Amino acid sequence: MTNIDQDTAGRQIRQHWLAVLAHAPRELLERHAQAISDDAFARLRAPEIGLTMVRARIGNQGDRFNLGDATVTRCVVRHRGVDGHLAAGVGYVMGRDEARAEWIARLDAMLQQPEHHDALMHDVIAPLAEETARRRRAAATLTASSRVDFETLSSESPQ
Amino acid sequence: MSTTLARMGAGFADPVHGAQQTFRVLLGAMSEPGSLHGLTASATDGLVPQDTAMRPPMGIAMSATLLTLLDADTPIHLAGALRNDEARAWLRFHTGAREVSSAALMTAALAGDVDAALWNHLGLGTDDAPQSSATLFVEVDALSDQPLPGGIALTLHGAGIETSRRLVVAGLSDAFWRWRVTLQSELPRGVDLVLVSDRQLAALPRSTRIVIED
Repeated sequence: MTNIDQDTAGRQIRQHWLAVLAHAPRELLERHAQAISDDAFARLRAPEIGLTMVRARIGNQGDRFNLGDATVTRCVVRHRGVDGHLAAGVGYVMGRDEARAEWIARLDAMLQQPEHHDALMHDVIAPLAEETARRRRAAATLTASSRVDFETLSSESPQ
Repeated sequence: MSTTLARMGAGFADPVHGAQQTFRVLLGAMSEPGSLHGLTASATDGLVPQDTAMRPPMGIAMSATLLTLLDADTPIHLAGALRNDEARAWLRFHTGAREVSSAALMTAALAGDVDAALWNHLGLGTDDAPQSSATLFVEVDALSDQPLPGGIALTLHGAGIETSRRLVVAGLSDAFWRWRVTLQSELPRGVDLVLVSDRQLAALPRSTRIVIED
């Protein structure tokens, strides 16, 4: 396993699993998180709800403007591995779901522990990523069926 | 970053109730200057974890006080034994407060004795805006109303004290208390002082006149 703390590659892997967890459907996430024992965890920052300003740019160009406030729930937990190795996991989710933020933080902490990393990537992250991709494809197909392409016809120029 | 976070000390188990209970104790301490107040176990719940690796990087009363009073808008200066990366990171994580260099200090926290290098930088406020002065939090060796080995006894008068009150502080030098006495003629300018030791705390607002006993 690459060093999650230092390399860019390690950081990208962590960003990937955090994104997968943040987008995962609640029921699936709950099922995976409930399977973990409570014992090895301590709360560093209990789940808390706050506001964040979402900023955007039109068509990905021009100046940023404030789109609006969004509620965000965050949580930080610490996991003590079997060998005593400590890992801190963070969970950030849109909305006001405290349990979800804590589940993500717990999974993030365990994913940083070498003894759990591979199993969790295979059993949790891969299926959740597949599920999210499936939902997105379904939504895209549904939208595509009513898609209309607007075209502007230019008048024929006189010869 | 994650390595630091993995070793971060704990904060209040319940930030809202911990801060509310600690604030009530600070309010009592400020309104009755020099009186000793203990923080109950429920106020400091979470700050004394079983796992010693998770202990906050400062004493219980200092931890509870700073977690209660600091937020992202409070510039704080750390000095003495508190001037270390662990304390800095812990305050940043739990309160959002940023450390500032010593210029025109508004809030300063330290463990150990206060020296002239620090007190010369503390903001005293102005006659028009005395509230823009510094608040100084000091972790001392011991606080009592009885004689202490190595302690300096103070007789206190002023607002919130019916006749006089006695406070004995171990861990702060004579020079510091003489500086505190010279500030008394500056009122309403001045510095509010909160002394902590283990679970105890006592406050000496600027309005309290002190006499150093021999």
